[in-house]
Amino acid sequence: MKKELSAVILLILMTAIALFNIFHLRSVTGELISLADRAESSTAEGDFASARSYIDAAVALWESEDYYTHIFIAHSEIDGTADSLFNAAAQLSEDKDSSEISAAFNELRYHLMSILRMEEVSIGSIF
Amino acid sequence: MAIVIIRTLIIYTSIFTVMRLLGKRQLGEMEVSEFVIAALIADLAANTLQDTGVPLLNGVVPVITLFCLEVIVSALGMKSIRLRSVLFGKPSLLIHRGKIDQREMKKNRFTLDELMEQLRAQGLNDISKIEFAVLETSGNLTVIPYPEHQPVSASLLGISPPDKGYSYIIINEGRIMNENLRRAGYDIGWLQKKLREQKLRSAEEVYFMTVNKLGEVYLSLRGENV
Repeated sequence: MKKELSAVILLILMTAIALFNIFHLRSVTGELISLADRAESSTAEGDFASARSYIDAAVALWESEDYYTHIFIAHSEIDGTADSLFNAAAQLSEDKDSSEISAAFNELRYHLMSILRMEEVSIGSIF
Repeated sequence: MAIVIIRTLIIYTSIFTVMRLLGKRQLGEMEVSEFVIAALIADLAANTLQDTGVPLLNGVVPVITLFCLEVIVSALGMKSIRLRSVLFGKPSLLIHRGKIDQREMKKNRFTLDELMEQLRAQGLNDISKIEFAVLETSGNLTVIPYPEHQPVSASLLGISPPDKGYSYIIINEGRIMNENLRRAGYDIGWLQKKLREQKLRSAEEVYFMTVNKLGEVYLSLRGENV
């Protein structure tokens, strides 16, 4: 009976960790998307200094989550997201075309949403 | 390279622990659910080991989940007979009083060749001598011959041979198995006396030694070849 009880507890514990993981990932990606949105709107307003500070904050946040992401997320997704984040940061200059900047931020948002979708429980992510 | 070795160690330890916890049956006769788990675990482990881009958790978590499910399903099967037959199936009587039940054979997709192969493996090839043959849920065939064709036993002959009990291994490749020696009811002094009788100086010269309840000893020396 002890073994069966341990199995049930272990399953509940793993489910709780999985739910916490989704909650944490939602919070991190939400924060990153918000910073990306603010950086993009600052760029549209011509305020590149603010845009740079927002994107730097996004890079710092992403790097602070390095251990977490490598343990929980497929490494190809991490690489894709990191590449798009650094690409978005690289686009932040006055001589860049606004459509290029917008495309870079759209790609970043797509990657961030993608890693969240992979973890969130939905018909799509299951099948 | 180092990562692959570490991942292999972690996966190996996880699977080893899980298989150990599932018990000895997992290694021999498997129920359907156990077979499914064994196949899945092997595949999960292989994928996680080969692809270092996949987080190790993606390999370990399913293995632990499968272990939990197997333990829970087994426990449910123990509690309910009906559920047990749904989960693990029921034994099928393939031969009933010397006659093959063709419906049961078909139901279990068991061919005549397979039936004869299993019977021959048990030293039987004449179906008319078999009273019952049961296809167990593990896939093994249990064969019960008619009483007149059953192997002769001491009770049938009306004799009572001495009970020799269990043969304990007391020396294993030169090492004295103290626990077994104690269980067999002997001590180190008795063992040394037995070794001296065989003109041996120490247990290290012995490859294998057993003793039974009657004190009968089997001894094989190191380096002894047939």
